[in-house]
Amino acid sequence: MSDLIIEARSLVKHYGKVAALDGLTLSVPRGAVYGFLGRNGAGKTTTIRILAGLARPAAGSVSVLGLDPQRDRLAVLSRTGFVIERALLSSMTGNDLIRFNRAFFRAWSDAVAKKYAEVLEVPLRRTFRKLSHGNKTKLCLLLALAQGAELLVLDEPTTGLDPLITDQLLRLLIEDFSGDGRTLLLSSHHLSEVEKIADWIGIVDRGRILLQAQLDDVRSNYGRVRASGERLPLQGGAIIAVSESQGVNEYVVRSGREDFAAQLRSQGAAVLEAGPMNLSEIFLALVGKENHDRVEMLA
Amino acid sequence: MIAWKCWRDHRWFMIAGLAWLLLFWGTTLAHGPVVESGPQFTEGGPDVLAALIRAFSTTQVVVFALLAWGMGTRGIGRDIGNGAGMFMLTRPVRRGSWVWIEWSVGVALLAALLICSGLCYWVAVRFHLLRVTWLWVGPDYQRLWRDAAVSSGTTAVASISALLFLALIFSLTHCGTVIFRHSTRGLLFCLAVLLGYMFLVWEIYLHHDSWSPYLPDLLFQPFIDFPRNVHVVPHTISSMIERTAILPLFPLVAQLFLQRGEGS
Repeated sequence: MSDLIIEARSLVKHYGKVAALDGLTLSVPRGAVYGFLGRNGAGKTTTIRILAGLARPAAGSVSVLGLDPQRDRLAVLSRTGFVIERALLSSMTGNDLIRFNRAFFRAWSDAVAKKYAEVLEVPLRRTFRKLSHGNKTKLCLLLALAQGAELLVLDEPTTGLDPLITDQLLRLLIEDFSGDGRTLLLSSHHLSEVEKIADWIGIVDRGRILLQAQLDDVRSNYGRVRASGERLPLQGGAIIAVSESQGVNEYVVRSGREDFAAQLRSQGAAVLEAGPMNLSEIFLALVGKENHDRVEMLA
Repeated sequence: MIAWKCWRDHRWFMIAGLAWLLLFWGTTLAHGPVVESGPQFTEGGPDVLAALIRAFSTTQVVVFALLAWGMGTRGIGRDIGNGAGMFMLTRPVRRGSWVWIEWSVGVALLAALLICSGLCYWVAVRFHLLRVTWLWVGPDYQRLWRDAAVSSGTTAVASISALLFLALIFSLTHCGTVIFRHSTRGLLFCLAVLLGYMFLVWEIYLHHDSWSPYLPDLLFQPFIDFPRNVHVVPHTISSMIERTAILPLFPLVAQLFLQRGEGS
């Protein structure tokens, strides 16, 4: 069995003239908590729709749990929990939705549903249309969690939730779901939330993966170097982005920041800083860059 | 579980249909001309009864057609239109199953409604005749007792005929709702197809005397001069089989649209 629970290669998808995916490649290891990061419209939801068999790629290949989501759609869906949009059957109460959903999944657990309903304070007797946005989101997550999936794919799961519930939910996902060795793919543009729980990240923009790596590797390899001097390099092997302000060049490098700083010093530059970056800074450096170069997987 | 959801979607239509039946027969039997006029009613008794049966048959088709029209808008097409498509289509069920189960349950519920209607009609007319016979026994009533208009067989054939029409309306609306993923558009689609077909029939019969292809009536009437006389129209069985065979084409088309679509 492959170590990758999701494997997508060179996915292409167009909506009219707009390229939603432009050769996206995604590899999610089994047991990972994978943060799928990108701006709105970067291609996250389209990718997830393809993983769920809801959309067909124009080119490329994809496998989920070793299966083709188009050909083996039912097998993929019975083993994967998808929360893509926060809209359920509006006339049903939470209890109705639990009853409705239960029949579709062999591994369904009423105990888990009850537990999450209590912990997340979801009013199960109210119809879905009368729930607040936050409670709708929580109910969607509750249903996905109770189905006993091997893989959970959540698209922007914390949208509309208050910080307390967000924190509670993220903790539950890590302790209960991911703790059992199951895989979680979490699409988001809330970097701080992803940084709290993910062990792998993939940064997507304009339908392409810019970075895909273990978060610890990213943190330890990516760095910022600030230097001043004459004829400083503007591009080179490890340089991802360069910005210039008041005679100081700020470099974002994908690896070997100390080596790069030493190289600048040897060229007569004054290195003002050479330090690590947080995920938010890395994201901004990659996504803010004008011309994207494909960044290879680090680990 | 899909069937359970269908029942939930349709239950108010069923309750409305049953309520109308109770209201119609309850009001008619309690306050109708039969009771009020007493023995004097016998002067024109069978005519009044025939008018009553005719009124029931006509209003039943109209009321139930409206219910079938509304029932057709419920289901996966409407759910997708309301934004629940991602949820529905990520349940591990074949897309065709949604369409076929919804269609089967819808037609079954319409059939159940018509069975109830047929029973109400049968019981109510017999109850009425019993009361009138108790008041006064005349030759016309004795004829009516034997008349096929109130026989089980006639009631069954009339109910099947009505079911075929209601199922057509339901199937068209359901199909339209799946195609357009919108309940109002599904309603309008059904209306447009029915009106278009009626216009076509009218146009052909009006302007093409020499060449008139066979176009069946939308509402199949199995009897001539019902309920006074019950003459079965020719080719009744083949017409019914023909109409029954057409009905599954609508969920088939809906299934193809649902499978080709991308679920939102």
